[in-house]
Amino acid sequence: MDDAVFTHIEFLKHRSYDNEKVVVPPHNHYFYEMTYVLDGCLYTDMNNKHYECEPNSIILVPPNVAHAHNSNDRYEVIYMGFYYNGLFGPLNQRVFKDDDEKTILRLLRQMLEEYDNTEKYYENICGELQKIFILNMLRLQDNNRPSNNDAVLKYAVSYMQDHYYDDIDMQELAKSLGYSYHHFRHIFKENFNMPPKQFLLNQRMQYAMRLLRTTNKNISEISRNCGFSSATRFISSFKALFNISPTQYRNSDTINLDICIFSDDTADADLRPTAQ
Amino acid sequence: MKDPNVSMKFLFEKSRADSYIDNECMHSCYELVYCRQGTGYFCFNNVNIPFKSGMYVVFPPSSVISESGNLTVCDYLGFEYEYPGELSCGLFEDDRGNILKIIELMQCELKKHTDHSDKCLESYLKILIYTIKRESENSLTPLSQHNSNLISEIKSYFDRNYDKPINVSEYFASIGYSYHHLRHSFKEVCGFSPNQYLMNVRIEAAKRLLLSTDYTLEEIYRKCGFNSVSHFVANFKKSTNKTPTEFREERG
Repeated sequence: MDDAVFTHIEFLKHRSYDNEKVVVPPHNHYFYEMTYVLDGCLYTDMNNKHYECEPNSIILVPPNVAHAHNSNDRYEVIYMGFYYNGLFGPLNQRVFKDDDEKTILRLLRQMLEEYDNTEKYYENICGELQKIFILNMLRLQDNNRPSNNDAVLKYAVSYMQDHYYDDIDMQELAKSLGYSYHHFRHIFKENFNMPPKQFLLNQRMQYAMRLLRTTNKNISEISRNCGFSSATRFISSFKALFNISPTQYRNSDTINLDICIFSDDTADADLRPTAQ
Repeated sequence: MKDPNVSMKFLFEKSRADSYIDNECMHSCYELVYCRQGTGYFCFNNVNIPFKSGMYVVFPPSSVISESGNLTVCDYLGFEYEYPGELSCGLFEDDRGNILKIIELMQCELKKHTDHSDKCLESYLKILIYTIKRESENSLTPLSQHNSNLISEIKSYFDRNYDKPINVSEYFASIGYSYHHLRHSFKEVCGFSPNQYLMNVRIEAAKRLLLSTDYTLEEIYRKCGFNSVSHFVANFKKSTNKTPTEFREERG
C-alpha cells in the first residue's frame, strides 16, 4: 500500500507582508493548500467559518474547498500547495496549532532549504520530507494517537539478532526505544513470550550450537564469539538449558537439542541445530 | 532517480568503556556506525579503518567487522536497501553535521510510540541515504580505496627507505596496523607480501648499482639495506639465479 502513496509539491513559498492590507478573495484549488502562520494574524474564511489564525497556526484547505484570506497588518507565512492521494489517511479541512517541538515548522523549513540549495537529490529528499509532513499532520489531526501495537519492539529484536555477540545493556536498549527497562521487559514478554534477556541468551545459544557442530573452535573461543562473558558462564548456561555440557553436545551426533526462538518470516531457519 | 526500497532494522546508541575490542562478526544487513565521541578502529576485510568523532562508516551486508576503540559513543543503524544502484560504503566525514541531525530525528521518532512511526522512519532513512549519496560524492573514501591508498602509501615508504634497516611489523605498528592484518591485504593488492616487496625493491636497487657503479659488494649491501654481504648474495641469487658478481660480469 505504501508504494501507492502519492504526494507532489506544487509550490512552497515563504512570504512576509509589511503593513499592507492583503485580501485574497474566495477561490479554490485542485490541490491541498497549507498555510503556516509565522507572525502576525491571518483571517481565513473556509466553508462559511471564520478563523483567526495566530502564529504557529496551520490552515489546511483540502482540494476544491473555497477559502479566502485577509489581514490588516504585517504578517509572515509559509504556504504550500500539494497533491496527496490520501493513502496514509484522510487529511481534513482544519485550522490547528503546531506541536510544542514545532515539528511541522521544522519540516517546512527543511523543505525550503532543500529547494533553495537545489543540491543533488533535493527533489527526492523533499518528496520524503513531504511524506513525513503529511504523517505528522495526520498525527496532529488524531491528537498523537498511540500506536496500537508495540511496533518498535521489532527493532530491539533485530538488534539482538545482529548484535548477539555484543555486550548488550538492556536498560540502554529500552531507553533507545523510549521505554523504562521495566516496561520494555513487560511488553517484550507479552509479545514474544519471554523476557528480552532470555531472547538474547537463546540467540547466543543458537549460534553457539552451530559453532559447536560445524567448527573446531574451542569452547572459550565459541563463548567469546557468542557474547558470553566467560567460558564458565557459557558452559553453566548451556548445562542449565539442556542438561548436557557443550562438549557432550559437540561429541554426540545423535543428540538433537531444540531451543525456543522467536521466529518471524526473516528468522534464519538454517540456524536451528540439527543432528549431522 | 527511482525511489529505493528500504527498511530500518535497528538503531541503537551505545557508550563503550576504555580500550575495548569486539569479536569479529558478520552483519546481515547494511550497517551505518556513527561515532559521536572517542576514537577507534574497524577491522573490515583485514584492513583497519581508523575513526573518530564526527565520522561514520557504512558497511555492506554480510561484512565481517570487528571494532576496537576507546571511550566511544556510537550509533548503530542497521537497514536494508534494495536498489539497482550501489549504495556507497566506506568511511565518511559528517562535515556539516547533516547525518547526525537525521539520526537524531530518527531516534526521536523511535521514542514517540504514536501512529505512523514506521513510515516516518522509512522516509527518514531514505533521506539519510540520499544525503549520504550526495555528500559521499565529495568526501568518500570507499573501503576498497581506503585499502589501496594505504597500500600505495606503504609501497612508497619502502621505495624511499629501502636503504635503511626496516622492521616491517614495527613500521606497521607505528602507523596503527597489525602485521597480520596488513600482510594479507598487502598481498591481495600487490601480489607480494610486504617483506617480499621490500626485498624486490632492494634487489632492483642493487642491480642498478652493480651495473652503473664500481661499488664493492660490501658497499652495495649497505646502500641497499641488506644485513650483510651473505644476506645480500643469498637473496640476490634466490631472486635472479645468479650471484651479484656473475650478474655484473654478464651484463657489465
